[in-house]
Amino acid sequence: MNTRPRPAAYPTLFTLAALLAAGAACANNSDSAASAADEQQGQPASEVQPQAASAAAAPALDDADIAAIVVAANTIDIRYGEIARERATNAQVKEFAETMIRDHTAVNKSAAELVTRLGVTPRENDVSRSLEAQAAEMRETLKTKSGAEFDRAYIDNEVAYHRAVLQAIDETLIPNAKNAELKQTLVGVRPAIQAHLEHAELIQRSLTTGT
Amino acid sequence: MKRRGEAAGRSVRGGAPGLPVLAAVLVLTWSVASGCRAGRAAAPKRHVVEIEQFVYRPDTLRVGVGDTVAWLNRDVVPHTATDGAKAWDSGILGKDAEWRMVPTTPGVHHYLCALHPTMKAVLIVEE
Repeated sequence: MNTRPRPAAYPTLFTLAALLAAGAACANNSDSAASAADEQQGQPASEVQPQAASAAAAPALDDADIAAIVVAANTIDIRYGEIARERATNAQVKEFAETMIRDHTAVNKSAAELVTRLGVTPRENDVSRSLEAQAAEMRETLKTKSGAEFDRAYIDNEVAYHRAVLQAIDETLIPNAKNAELKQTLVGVRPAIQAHLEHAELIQRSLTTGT
Repeated sequence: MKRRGEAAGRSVRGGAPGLPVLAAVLVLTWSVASGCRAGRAAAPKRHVVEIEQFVYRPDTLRVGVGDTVAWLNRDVVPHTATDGAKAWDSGILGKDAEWRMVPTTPGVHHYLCALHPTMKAVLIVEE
């Protein structure tokens, strides 16, 4: 049951970085950001790489787009957490889900305060819409699972999602943010995403070894 | 919400009630004999550990028994300062919340954030 292969449903996660990288490629006239989202060890997702190329026509991102992407990315993880709150059985996984809900809600609140202060209205865009559409698929996939299978699927998803978000922050969102305060907020959020990733990886290992 | 835990901060278990006077004499004697090792026998100090960007700053802090240690959360997400041996726990600290503790016994405390276990630091309490 706790075997290593990741379900095929995870490709959607890796398109997050790919979509954002494509937006950045347009803005920066560079394709270097579209590097593999799965090059970290233990994340076999190479089969989904072709989707990166299909998003190459995405428009450039401005601050209103970035604000919408930030809100969408946080909201997506909150909703994953809400599913885990109901379906997770492992205590560590349940606690992690509560932390995700709490933290991403706090970040969204802070982001909302910032954009209000800056007079930036988050604008839905192809990237934010795609993220949400893919997340909706993932939510449906997660809802088909239960017990240990759900715990594993949720945590695998969290590892992959935070890894992709981290890449997007580094390669697309921070480089493209124009407003200094928005850029600084993104820099400030990065350690949270890194800590969430490391926490999820800890639990992932624990689920694998049964400790 | 802004400030919590002054009382809770004193919840760390102290030494036996009859010993403080003897301990004070010993500390004073040791301090004088060791020729002015600055500060230890002086008035209690206040130390601040800032929690920012998922890091405790400083990540290693040396304090004296009777000093006040305050943890201040600068992040937008909540954190805790929780002793690994469960001797003390700040509880959840929201943005800009502060929690204080006055350690009463020497020791080395490895502590972490109960919400984000990759956040770790050390508090060293000296006599």
